[in-house]
Amino acid sequence: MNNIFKRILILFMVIVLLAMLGGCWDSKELNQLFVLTATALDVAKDPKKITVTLQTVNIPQGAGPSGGTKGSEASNGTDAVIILKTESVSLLEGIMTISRDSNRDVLFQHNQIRIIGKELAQKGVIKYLDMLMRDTDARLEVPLVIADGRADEVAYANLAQSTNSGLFLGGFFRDLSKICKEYNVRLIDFARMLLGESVAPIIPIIKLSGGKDKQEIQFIGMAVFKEGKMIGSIDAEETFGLIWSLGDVKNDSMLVREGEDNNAVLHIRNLKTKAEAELEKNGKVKITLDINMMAGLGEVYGFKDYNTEQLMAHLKKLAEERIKDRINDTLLVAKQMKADFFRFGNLIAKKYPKEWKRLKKRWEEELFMQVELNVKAKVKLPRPGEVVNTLEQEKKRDDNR
Amino acid sequence: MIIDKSQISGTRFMFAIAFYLQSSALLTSFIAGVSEQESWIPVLFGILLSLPIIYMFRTFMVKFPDKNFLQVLEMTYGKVIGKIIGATYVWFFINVTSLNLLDLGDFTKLAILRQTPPILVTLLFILISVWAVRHGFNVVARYSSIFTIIEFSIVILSLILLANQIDLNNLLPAFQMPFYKYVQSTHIITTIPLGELVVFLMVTPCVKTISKQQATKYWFLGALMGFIVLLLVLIRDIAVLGNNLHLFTLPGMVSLRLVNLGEALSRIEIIFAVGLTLLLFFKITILLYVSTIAVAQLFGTTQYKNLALIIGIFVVFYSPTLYQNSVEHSNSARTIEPFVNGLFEVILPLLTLIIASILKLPKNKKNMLQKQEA
Repeated sequence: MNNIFKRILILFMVIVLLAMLGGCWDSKELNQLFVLTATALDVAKDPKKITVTLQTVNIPQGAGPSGGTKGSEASNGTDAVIILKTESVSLLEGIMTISRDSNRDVLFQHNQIRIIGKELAQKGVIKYLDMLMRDTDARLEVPLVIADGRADEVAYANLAQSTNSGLFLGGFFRDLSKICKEYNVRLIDFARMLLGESVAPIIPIIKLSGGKDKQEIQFIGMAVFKEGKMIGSIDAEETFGLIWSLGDVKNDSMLVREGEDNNAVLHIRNLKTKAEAELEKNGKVKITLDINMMAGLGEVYGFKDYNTEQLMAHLKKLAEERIKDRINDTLLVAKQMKADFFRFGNLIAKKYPKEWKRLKKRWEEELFMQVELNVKAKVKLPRPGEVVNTLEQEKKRDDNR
Repeated sequence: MIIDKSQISGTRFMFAIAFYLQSSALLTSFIAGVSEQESWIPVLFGILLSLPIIYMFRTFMVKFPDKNFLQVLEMTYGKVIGKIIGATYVWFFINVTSLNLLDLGDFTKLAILRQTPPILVTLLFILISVWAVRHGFNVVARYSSIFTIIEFSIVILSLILLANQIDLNNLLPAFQMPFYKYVQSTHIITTIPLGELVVFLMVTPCVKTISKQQATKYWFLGALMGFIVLLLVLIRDIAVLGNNLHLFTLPGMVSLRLVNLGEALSRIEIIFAVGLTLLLFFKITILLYVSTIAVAQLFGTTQYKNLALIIGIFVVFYSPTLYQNSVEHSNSARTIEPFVNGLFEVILPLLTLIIASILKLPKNKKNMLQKQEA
């Protein structure tokens, strides 16, 4: 008797466990979700509030466990994105209001990008980022970007290259980060820069342009922050100076000019930078940047009067000068803005920690202005590509025969 | 009297120690709040400081090879005082078990199963632990060898995947914080993860007779394996997160979140969750075993198997009542707990050892060894 009772009990427990542990509790079907692709924050008409815009992918209501073909019929006439918008005091409050007034749950895990409008960035952006760091769902590796203008317009944008601007921007920054990690400012990078030693955080800026339907997004530079507020920006050219000084650039291109007719484009295969800081007795700072660049020749216009070896040596020199000039120019811009986005403060703090404690307060206003920069650039140009001489050089050689 | 007749080999004991120490590696947020980026310095000091403590534990094992720690207390202090001190140790063991169970419940609630009441998870866990404990220490410790290797591989894998985000410059500058922070952090590290090895004093009777040299070898080799993992994990977290380290409650989890090699190899923080579950399970099972044996010893019974379930259920319901929220938990872990732990892990054993040497205990050690070999 006991044996049978035991077996029935075990069978019962197995059935109960199978039913309960199957995990049907938290199931979310695809047609009950808004898959969030971009979050946009802007100023609102009420100065105490912000506009929260969530860009989600439109999954046709007919899709889901029942039809596949039905879904494709429905999507012909509708947009690819659904925008949810509200005005609220904080980010989470906005999201809660949106979820309350909609028939689906919002799925945060596929958030590709976070866009902040320029005006909101100038007012101050730190307090809105708290929820993004605290919540387990919000991912820390999502890139941040500033929109030159209003962020919600970027969310609404119907681009020539993609109907969903969030997915477009996600891929955009993934590609840029392959060139240099610094282009991709994730929330954790921004937090690290904010907490760094007298360092001005930077976030990329994009601009939306074009007519109603076929709009385009362009990368126009980096926004510079101080105390969490955007104080200015540097354009794409000046960003090169910053990127080259921070180092580790791969597969980019560098334009080298001499006069009006002579242009060359070099492929940057690899650019590595080593930075050394020296602190002198009177508080003056000398920074030495050792830049090593391995490049290949991409395209050459003009330079008629050189043959190949002379050309390579000449281009090498031009490239080295260009690196030096560009970085020095960008440093001037940084000094004008009184913003140390080159992160020299970090270098000194790591090397001279005791002195840094004393000098920290004076860094932004005084000492950064007096930084002396010494750029040593070394360019290696081993390969001219498939062609040995340009067509113009060949013609000239033929004419001279 | 011998409560648990199962025997384990010295190697398995060594892996048990190693795995126990590894379990504490994933909870480095204790000291991250105090010494932030320089947490690796107190850990190094803590390791050095714990070496004499581990030597003291090994001495207990060599001197009293078949007596668990509560029996040693009774022998040293006499029946009455010995039992009183033993009772406090029972409280200590049950407390540590509950704290670890609380860690497990909190972690599941925070990161994995957010809407499930944590008591369900902890209850199911304890039921399995009780099942393991009932079968003796052999079963409890058998788990350790293969999982040490698995956990070690997880740590190495995470280091490889994060290699492009590790910046060893984040470990500098060194020695820039006020002195008391280093003292506090070292104290925390020595007592909370490293000193909890005191629980292995309760399982001495289960380890096969081993010579002095072997005892030293097993204790220290096991501890060394644990130290390596602890250091690796901490250095990885500091190198990846830099000055953000003290902001997060679970730095290890955040580090693994940042892995992004191509599109496919991202969002692998589930590995951290799996690893933590494996480790905490082992720790809780060993602690439950130790608590059960301690209670059985205190009341002079050999029927520890029935006690296991009772103590297990008690721990499940006791653990949520310990702290009101996790902020209080971290606060207490930083300020009060090191002192309480230090009392039970260092001061009382040291005192016992001194008194035992003065009294020239154990009196008939040769007879004991002969009995075991017979």
